Amino acid sequence: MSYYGSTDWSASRDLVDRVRDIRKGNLDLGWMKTGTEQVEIHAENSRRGLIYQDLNRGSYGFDALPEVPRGPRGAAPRGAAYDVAHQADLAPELNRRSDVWAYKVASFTEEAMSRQWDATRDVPWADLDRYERPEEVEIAFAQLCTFFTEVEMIATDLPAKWLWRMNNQFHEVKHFIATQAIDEARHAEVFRKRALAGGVGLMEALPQAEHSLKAILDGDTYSEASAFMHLLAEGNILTLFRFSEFISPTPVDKRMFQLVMQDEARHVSYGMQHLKWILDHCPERKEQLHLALDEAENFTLNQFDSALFECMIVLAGKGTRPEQIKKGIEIVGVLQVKQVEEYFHRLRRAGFEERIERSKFREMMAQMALLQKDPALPA
Amino acid sequence: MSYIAPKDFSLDPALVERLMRTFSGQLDLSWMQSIRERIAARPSQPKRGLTLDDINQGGYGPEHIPEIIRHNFSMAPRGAILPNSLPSLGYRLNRKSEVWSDQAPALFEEGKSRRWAPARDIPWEALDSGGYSPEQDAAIRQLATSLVSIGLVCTDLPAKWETLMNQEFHEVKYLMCLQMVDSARIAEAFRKRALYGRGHLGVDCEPLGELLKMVIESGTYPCASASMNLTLFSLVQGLGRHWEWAARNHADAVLGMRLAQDASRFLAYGMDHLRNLVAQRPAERDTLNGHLDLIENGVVGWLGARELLEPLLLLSGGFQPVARLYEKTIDEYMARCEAAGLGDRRKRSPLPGFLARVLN
Repeated sequence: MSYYGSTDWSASRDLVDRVRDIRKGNLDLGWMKTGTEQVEIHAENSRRGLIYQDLNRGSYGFDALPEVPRGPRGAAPRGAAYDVAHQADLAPELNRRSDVWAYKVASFTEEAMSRQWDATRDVPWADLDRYERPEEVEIAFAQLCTFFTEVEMIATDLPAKWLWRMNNQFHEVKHFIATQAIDEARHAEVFRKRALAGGVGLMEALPQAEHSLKAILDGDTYSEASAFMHLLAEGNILTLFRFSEFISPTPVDKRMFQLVMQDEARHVSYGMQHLKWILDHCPERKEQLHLALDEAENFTLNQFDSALFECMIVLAGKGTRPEQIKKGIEIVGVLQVKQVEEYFHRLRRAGFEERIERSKFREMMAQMALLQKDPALPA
Repeated sequence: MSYIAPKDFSLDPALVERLMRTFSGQLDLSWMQSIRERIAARPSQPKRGLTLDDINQGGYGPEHIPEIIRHNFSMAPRGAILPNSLPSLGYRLNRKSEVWSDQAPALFEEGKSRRWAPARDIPWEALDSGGYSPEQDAAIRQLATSLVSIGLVCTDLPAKWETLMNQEFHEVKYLMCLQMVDSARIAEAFRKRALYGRGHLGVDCEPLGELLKMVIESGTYPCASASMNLTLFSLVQGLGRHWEWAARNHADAVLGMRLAQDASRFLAYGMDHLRNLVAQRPAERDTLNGHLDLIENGVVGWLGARELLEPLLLLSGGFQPVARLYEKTIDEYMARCEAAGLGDRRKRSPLPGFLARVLN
């Protein structure tokens, strides 16, 4: 299964002679004469520091990247000199810029690097004891945190699945994906910590949600998986995070949701900008994306796990008494409409408005008679 | 290839009925009884915050992970209640000894607390003071080019295996995400270093490319971990220290220090992972040693490459400092292999022979 190179260096007389020659001071210095482009690079804004956008010059920049970078298939960084015939071929599978690229991806990457936070210290865990929480509310919150712990790791596993298949010419995207992986690991970590700090522990895993996760992971292409995960699933989670901040039982929990929201918003933005890039540069792939989202929406519709909906209702109503349940249902009903509404809004912003007419959510919302409650939704 | 739902749920009256039942106020609430093990974890040291070790208590901790996972192939978090209908997400790394390190939780915590961003945490303007001759300036940019390549491939390697790893090992998965971003940061920082000022990238070092290809195409995760975490990062740590030693300005000193510091985490995980694996399954020692014999052949090719050796020599002011770097790095690497339970590799590795032939 492994690859062990094309040369047995241990038996190479040339290698030993070369090193001995260098030792004597006989340098070849061929690597100095490769003629790579010289550029003038400084931080344009000293407060921001030296960012990827400052490096966007000549053959090193991302503006100059063609749709199909022909030749580079190895570990040579973009703009370095390399020999097409002798490079170690890492066999990348995503070799078209439109397979992975997104508008503003370099900015997203820099933002991610500058906004890293630590679930261990940036949430005031010790303050949790200062706030009284009714038992039923804490149980509901533990169920919600169990759900978040469960779903957040998909957004590490899916990007990781595709990252190593991407050509190294797209290093800004690969770096963004690496930041997303650590962001989402941190989200899983923070929700696990919250569930285990609250006095209840982890609760039930949710089968319907898991089927959606499997569908995301098994997407045929990176772009299809990205549309499902970044745009639809993470979009829904972002709306849910906002809702959860609103219904958080303590300021500690509010802080936790504020931290995860800024990361999630970045991931959703990448997904939107990737979709927009595809639609602008490869409109012929539209139908393929429609088909992927048909099935993605179908899985999302089936994510009705009663434990998830009911825990949100209990949290929103702050208890299980009939009047609390009634209030909780009203709030969660609004959340449901909001999730669909925001998804449609993201589709519009990505230039994929035609998707809305075809969406499976419209039929379901109509059936539930929720459609009439929000005039912003298309009829 | 894609996973298709068993029905079109938008046309499913049963789903609408269930939803409507809930929204009409008929809640089930049976899930509220599903409490498996109560726990109220608190920071053991408030200054450090709430660590993974603090929450790893009782059934939630890693001590209860069996050697072979047979009960959970979903994304359900360790310790959650698992309904029967959870799907399999196709994990292929389901043996604890294949991936586990007791140090993984602490290394993850350390990595987060030592996070840095190349954009702002390197005093780039210190490079304006120069300090290098034109040849040394070209040399340092060439070395930076090679470090970018290393960073790129070491971002890919954990990503390649992370997806295949069972969620029961979530601390290791978190650590692998950290490795991805640490490696991407190496690529970012040294790309910025190469291009800063009147800058340029150098040339792709073919023997390094071959070595990196060997590392990433290692056939099993333990072999991949040995070749990246232990072998490659021994060299990276040595280069980081040497970079710091040879630095003529504050920016390069910080870059070298950061590189060596980050490399230490890769080494710590790799050593503990392999030590644990070999202790649990001694037969794996032969497989790992056989793999490293061949990986080290690739290392010999890189150490003898002009694109590495000549810039190092120019930057270090002669051959002797480079020879000392090679000797010290390989010596430390051999000691690490031994500490990881692989035995004394000096007799079988091509590295000591290479050093003896070229240095004596």
